[in-house]
Amino acid sequence: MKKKLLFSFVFVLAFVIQGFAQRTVSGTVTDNKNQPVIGATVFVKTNNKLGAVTDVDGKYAINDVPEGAILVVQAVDYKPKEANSGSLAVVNFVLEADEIEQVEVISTGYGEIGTRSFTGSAGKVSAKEIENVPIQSFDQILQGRTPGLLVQSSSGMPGARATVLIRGIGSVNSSTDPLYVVDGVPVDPNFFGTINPNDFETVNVLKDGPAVALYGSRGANGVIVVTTKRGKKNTTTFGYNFQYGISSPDYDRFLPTLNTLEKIQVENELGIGYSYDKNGEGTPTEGEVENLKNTYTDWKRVLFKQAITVQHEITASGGTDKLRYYGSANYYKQEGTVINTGFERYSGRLNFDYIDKNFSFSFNNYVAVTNRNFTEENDTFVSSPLNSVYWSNPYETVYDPTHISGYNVLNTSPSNQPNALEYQELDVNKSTDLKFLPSLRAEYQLPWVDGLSIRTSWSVDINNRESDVLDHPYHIVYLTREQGGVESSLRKGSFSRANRSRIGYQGTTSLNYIKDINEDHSVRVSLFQEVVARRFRTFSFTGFGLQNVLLLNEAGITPGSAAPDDPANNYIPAVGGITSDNGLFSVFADGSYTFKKKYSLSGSFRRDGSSKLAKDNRYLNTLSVGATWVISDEEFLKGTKVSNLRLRASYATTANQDLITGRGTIADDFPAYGLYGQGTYGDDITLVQNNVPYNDLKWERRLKSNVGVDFGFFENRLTGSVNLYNDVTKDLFFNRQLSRTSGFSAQLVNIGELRNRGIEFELNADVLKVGDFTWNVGGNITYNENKVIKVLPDQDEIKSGIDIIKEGYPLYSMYLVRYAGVNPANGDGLFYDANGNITPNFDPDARNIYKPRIPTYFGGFTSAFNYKNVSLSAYFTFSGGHQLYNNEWTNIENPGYIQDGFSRNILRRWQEPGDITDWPRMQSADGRLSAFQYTEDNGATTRYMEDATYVRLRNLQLSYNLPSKWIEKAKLKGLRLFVVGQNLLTFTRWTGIDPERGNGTANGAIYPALRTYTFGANVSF
Amino acid sequence: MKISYIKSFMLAGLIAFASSSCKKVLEPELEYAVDGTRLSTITDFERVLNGAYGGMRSGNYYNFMYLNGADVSTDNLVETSASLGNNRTLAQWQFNTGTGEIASAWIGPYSVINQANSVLDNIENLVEQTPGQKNRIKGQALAVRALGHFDLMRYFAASYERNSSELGVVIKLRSEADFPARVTVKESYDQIYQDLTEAEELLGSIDKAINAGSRRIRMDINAVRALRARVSLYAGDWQDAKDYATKVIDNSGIALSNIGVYGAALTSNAIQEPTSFQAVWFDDFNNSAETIFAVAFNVGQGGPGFFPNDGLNAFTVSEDWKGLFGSSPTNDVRYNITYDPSASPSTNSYLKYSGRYDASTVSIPRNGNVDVKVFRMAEMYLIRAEANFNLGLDAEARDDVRTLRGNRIQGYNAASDNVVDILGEVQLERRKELVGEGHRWFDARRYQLGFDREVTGDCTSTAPECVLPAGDKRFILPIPLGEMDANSNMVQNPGW
Repeated sequence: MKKKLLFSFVFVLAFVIQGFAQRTVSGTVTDNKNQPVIGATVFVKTNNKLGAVTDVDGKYAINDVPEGAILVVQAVDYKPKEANSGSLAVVNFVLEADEIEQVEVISTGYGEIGTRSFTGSAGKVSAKEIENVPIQSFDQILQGRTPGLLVQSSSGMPGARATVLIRGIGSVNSSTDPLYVVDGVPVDPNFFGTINPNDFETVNVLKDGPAVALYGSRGANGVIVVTTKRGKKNTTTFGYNFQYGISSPDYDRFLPTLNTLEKIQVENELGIGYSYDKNGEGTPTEGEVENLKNTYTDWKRVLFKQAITVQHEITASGGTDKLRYYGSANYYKQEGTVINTGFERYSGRLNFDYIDKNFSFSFNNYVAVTNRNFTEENDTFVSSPLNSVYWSNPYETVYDPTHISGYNVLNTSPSNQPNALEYQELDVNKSTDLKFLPSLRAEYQLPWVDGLSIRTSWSVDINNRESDVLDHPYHIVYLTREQGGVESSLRKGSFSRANRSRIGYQGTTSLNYIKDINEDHSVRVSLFQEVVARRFRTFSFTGFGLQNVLLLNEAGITPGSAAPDDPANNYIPAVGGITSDNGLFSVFADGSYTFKKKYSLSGSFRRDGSSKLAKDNRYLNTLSVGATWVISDEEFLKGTKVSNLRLRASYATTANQDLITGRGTIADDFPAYGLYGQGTYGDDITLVQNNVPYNDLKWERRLKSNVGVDFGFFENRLTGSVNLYNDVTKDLFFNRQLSRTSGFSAQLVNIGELRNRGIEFELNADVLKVGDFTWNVGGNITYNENKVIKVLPDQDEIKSGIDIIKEGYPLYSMYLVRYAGVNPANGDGLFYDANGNITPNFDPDARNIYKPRIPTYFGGFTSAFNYKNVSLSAYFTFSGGHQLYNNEWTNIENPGYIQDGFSRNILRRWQEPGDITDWPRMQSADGRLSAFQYTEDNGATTRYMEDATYVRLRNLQLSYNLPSKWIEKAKLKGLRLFVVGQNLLTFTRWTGIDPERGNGTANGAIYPALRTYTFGANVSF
Repeated sequence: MKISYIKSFMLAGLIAFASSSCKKVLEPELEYAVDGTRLSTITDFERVLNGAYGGMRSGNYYNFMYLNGADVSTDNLVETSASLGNNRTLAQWQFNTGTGEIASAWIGPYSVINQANSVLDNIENLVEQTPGQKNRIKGQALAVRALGHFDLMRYFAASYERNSSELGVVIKLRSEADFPARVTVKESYDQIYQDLTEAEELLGSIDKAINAGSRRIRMDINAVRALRARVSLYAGDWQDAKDYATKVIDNSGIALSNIGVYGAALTSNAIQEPTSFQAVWFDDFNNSAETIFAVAFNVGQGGPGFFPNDGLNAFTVSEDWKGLFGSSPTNDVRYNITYDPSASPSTNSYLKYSGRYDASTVSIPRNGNVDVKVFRMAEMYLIRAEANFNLGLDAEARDDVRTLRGNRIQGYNAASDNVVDILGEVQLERRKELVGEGHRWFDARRYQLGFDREVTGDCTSTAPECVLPAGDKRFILPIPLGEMDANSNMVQNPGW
C-alpha cells in the first residue's frame, strides 16, 4: 500500500522507440488486487530498448513489437513476469508481489532485521499513520499507536514535550525517557519539537530483547528508532503539502468560578471581600458596589482565543542507479490558544545515498530553526497568567486607558494578581532553537570475503537554544506612585537571555558478516565499537533598569553600580553559566542464526564504560538472548486458516545512567562526587557543599524478559500480537531521604528494586470488504503492573508528601488521609483516623495508600472506513487506573483566598446545622475563616483526589483522493484533500481542565490540550 | 579498485581515532565545580567556613525563619495585604508537621552546622603557615556550630531548662549522613557550652583579626561571648549570662549606639552620625556601632525584608506593638526606625530591614538590602538586666534598663524612671528594641506568655484563630514530617 502510494507520484516517462515498424502492443499491468501498477517497465526480452513504462492507470503501449516477441514486465516490489505476445494487440499482466522485496524489517538503529527473525518485540508506526496530524512534537503523535508505549502530554502549549514511558515507569531518580535515535543518531528529547515528523518513514519502538540490549547502558527505557524518507531509484517525485487549522479551547472544561453577582453575594454573606469592606479598608459606597455589579469579566475568555495552524511543505525525491536523494522544506506554524503563545518551525532535510559497487555512502542533513512563545504553566504562582484566569475577581475590568500600560491594575484582592492579559501581552517569554543534525555513514563490502563488510557512521546532534525573558517595566511593581504603581521593586524591569548549547557526537564502527550459507542456514554477526560524548554549555545574563520602553532588550539595560548609595546598584546584572561533559565508550557484538528460515536465535553482548559513575564501577557488561519460531511455516499449519503464527522469547540486560536531575548538568554528569560550588560571603568567596558524595554509585540495571506471539488468520485479515513482559530494575538510582540533620534532604544512591510486569495486546482486522467498501478496525491495550519490590535495606517504605514508595505497592501510590465529608452539625471537615473511625482531627499517621499517579492501563483504538476515494478514520486513545491530586481545585477553594476569584462550589458550602453537603463551612462560629487543610504539602486528603481515567477522540480524519481523470487534466499525479479534527471529545470523570497529566501532577496553571480542526491538501506532481 | 583502498584506509583511520579517544571520553574534566576531596589549604578552609556563614543567609535561617519568622506568629507583627498568603500558615498558627516553614527551620541550621563540621573534620590536617591560623578557623567553626545547635533548640527543644531530661535536638559533630536520635536538653546544652568554651579559648590566640574592618560579619571572640550570654539567659544560668554580657559590654570595644545630637527622628543627618542607632539600620559600614555579629547581605543578594521583596512588606508592626510606645511614640528612635505611620500598611510601612539608605531621600525607595544583626549591644544590656534581676540585683538591673532607654528615647529622664516592675520593663524593652529580629516567639515561650490578637485588633480577616494560649503545644515546633519519615530514630515533640 505504502509503496503504491509512492508510485502514484511517478512521472510517466516516454521511451523513444526505434526498430522495425510492425505493430503496437498495449495493455494494463495490475496487481493481484486489480490495482494498477504504476511505473512498471514493459519491454521486449530480446531488445530492451523496445519498451514502455506504465502510467498512473497501469497502462502501457509499445510500438513496433515483432510478432511472437516475449514481453517482460519488471516493477519494484513485484516478481518479474513474462508473456508471449504472439500476435496480440493487447497483453495484460497481473503481477504478484515480490515477497522477498516486501519483507518487513525492523530498524534497530544499528541495522535492519527482518521481522520474521526478530526475537524481541517492537512496535512499528508508519508514516501514513502520523501524517497530517496537526501536532508538531512527534512524541505526542505516537500516543496510543503501539502497545506498551504510554505517551502523556502535560501541556497543550504548542511544541511542548510529552512524557513517554515504554512499559511502565522503571526508575525513580533516573530518566525514564526512551532513547530516541533518528537515522542512527541519538537525539536529545528536549529538542524534539525541532524535528519535522513529516520526514519520518517509519518509527520502530524497541521494547526488549537483543535489539534493545544492543544499546546497553542507554537502552533501559527502550529505544525509539526513526528512519527518515529516502529517494527511490528511477523515480522523481515532487510534493506539496498544505494544512490550515483552527484551535479553540474547550471553555466548558474550565473549572467553574463565581460570576460577579455570585461573588458579591458570597462576599456579603461572609462579610469579607472587596464588595463588602474593600478588604478591610472601609465599606464601599453604593455607587462603587453598583459599578462592581455592572462589570463582569470572564477572564478565561480574555486570556484564551481561537488560534491558527498553518503548514507548507515541499518535498522532492528520486534518484539514479548510483545516487538517490530525498529533500524537504517545511514551514510549520501553530498558535496556542493562550494569547501570545505559539510555535513556528522552519526546517529542511536533504538525504543522499550513493552506491558504487562495493562502496556505499549516506549523508543525512537536517537543519531547523524553531521559535516558541511560552506562558508559565504547571505551577501555583500568582503571576502565572493561567492561574490569574481563576484568581482574578470577575468584577475587575481588563483595560484601563488611564494607566500607563493601558491595562487595569487589579486591586480588589490583596493577592495582587497581575492582570493576566497584561502579563501575556507585555512580557516576552520565548526561545529560538537552532538544530543541526548531520550524519554520515560509509560502508564497504570487503571484496575478498563474501558477506563481510565494514561500516562506520559518525553523527553530530547540535542544539542551540536561546531564550529571552522580558519582565516589562510597566508592571506596577516597577512604576512610581505618580505612574499609578506601587514602586515596590527598584529593578525597573528586567531582560534575560540564556543560551544553552548541547552538542553530542556519536561514532560507531562495525565489522559485519551476513551470509546465507545455503537454503537452510543464515548467519549474521557484527562487532561494534562506539563512542558517544556530549557537551552541555550554558551562558545567561539578566539585566535590569529597562527605563526606555522602546528598547526592551539588552540594548536598554542600565549598567549597575556597586556603590551602596547609588540607586543603580539595583541594576547590577546577573551572569552565569556552566559547562559539563559526559561520555560513553563501548564495544559490543551482535549475532543471529536462522535455520530453515523458521528458527532463529539471536544474542548480543556489550561492554560500556561511562564517565558518570564512580571510577571503580565505571564498566558494565550487558547481554541478551532471544529466539523465534515461525510456526505457520511448519507443514501442519499449511493450508489452514492460520496465515501467520510466530512465537518469540527474549531476555536482555540493560542499564541506565541518565539522572532525572536534568540531562547535561554537573549534578547529572558527576553524581558520585561531593561537589562544592562557589558563592560569595561579604568580602570573600565561599565554597559550599552541594551534595552528599556516594563513592559506590553504579549503574542502574534493567532486566527485561518477554514472551510473545504474533498471529494472522484468514489470509491476514485478522492480525495481532500478544506479549507478556517482565522488567525488573535493580540498583535503582534513588534519592534516599536523609535525616535533615546532615544538612541535606536526600542523597543519590543505588537501592531498591522495582518491577513492571504486564501484558500487551494488539489486534487489527479487515472487518468488511464489500466491493469498494472496506472497514478496518484495530486497537491495542497494555496492562502494566508496577510494583516496588525492595526499598531500603532497613526500611520498606519512603513517604514523601502525597506519595509513598512502599514494598508491594506501585511506585508513586497516592498516600492521603481519607476524607469523610462534612459534619452536618457544625460544618467541620471530617476524616478517617487510623482505625477507620470518623474524626474531626487530621492525623498524618492515618494516611492510606491509594492508586498510583501513573496509569496502569492504556492504549488506543481506531476504526477506518474506505469507499473508493474517500476514507474516514477515527482514532481514540485512553489511559486509566490511576488517581491524581487535583490542585486545580485547591487553588480556588482555599477559604483564605476568598478575596480572589473563587470556586463556584462555595455556593453549596455548609451554612447551618443540618446542611448535608460535601463542602465544609467557610467560617467558624465566631466568623473567622476556616483553615484550609487540603494543600498538597499540608494535610492533603482524598477530598481532592480524583480518578484521571480518560478516553479521548484524539483524531478524526476524512480524506478524499481526487480521481485520476480529474487531476490528469491539471497535470498532477495526485491530489488528496483532508479534514482532521484533533482532541474533539474527551470522556473522563476527572473534573480538572485536562485529565492527561504527563508528570502525574495537576498543580495549577494548566494549559489544556488543543482542540484543532485542520483542513489540508497533499499534492504530488 | 584504487578508490576503495583509499576508502578502507579512511575507515581504518576513523576506527583508530575512535579507540584513542576512549580515555578522554570517559574522564571529562570537572571544570565548573570543586571536588570536595581536594580542599586542603588555609584559603580552602576559609572559603568553606565562609560557606557556613553564607548558609545563614538562607530563608531557612537568618533571612527569615530565625529572623522575622520568629516574629510573624507573635504579637509584634501582623500580616498585610502584600503577603500573597505567604507564611500565613505560620503566622496564623495553623502549621503542622508538614508545613514548609517548619521543615525550613529544621534544615536551615543543620546545613550551616554541616558546613562547619566539614571544616572541623579536616582542620587537623591543615599545615599552619603562621601560628594561630588553625585557631582562627577552628574557633569560628565551633562558634558557628554552637550557634546552629542553639538556634535549633530555640524552636524545637522540648524545654529550655539547663538540666532538663526532655528531648533537645540532634547534636551533629561530624559532616556525615547518618540517622541520629535527639539527645536530652541537658546534653544539647552541654555540647553547646563545650563548643563555646573551646571557641572562646581558641579565638583568644589567633594570627589576625577575624573581622578586618568594622563590618563584623564573622564570629569573633565577642560574638562567642554574646552567644554564650544568650544561651545562659535561656538556660537560666543567670550568673554566667551576666558575666558574659558584661565581658562583651566592657571588653569588646563596641559601644551601644545612641540617639545622637540629631535626636530620634529618621533624618539623613541622624543616619550619617557614626554612633547613632539610625546608622545601624542603614548599614553605613564605616561606623557600625552596636553590631557584634551580623550576617552579610551584599548588594544583589537580596535581604531579609519580607516577601515579596523590596518595599512591599508582607507583614508590618501590629497595633499592639505600636501601642507600646504610648502617646508620643516618635520620641523613641526605635519606633521611627521600625515603622512609617504615613505609609500604607503593605508598602514600606515596616522599615526595619528595608534596606540601605538612599542618601538623597533617606526614605523610600530603599533597596531591601541590609546585613542581619544577629547579636548587638542592646541585647547584651537587656540580658544583663534580666540576669541581674533574677540574681536579686535590682539596682544593677535598673541601671541597664535606664542606660538603654537613655540611648533610645528623646528627652529621657533617668531620674524620674523608677523601673518598678523590672522584668516587665525588660520584656517591654525587648519588644521595642528587638522587634523583627527573631526573639519574640522564643521570649513568649521563656516568659510563658500567650497571644491574643483580637483584643488589640491585630487579628486579620483570614485568620482562623485569634488566640494562642500560653504554653500551647505549638510553642514547641513539631519535628517536620520529612525528618520523621526519613529517620526512624527521630522522636516527635509532645502533642504533635
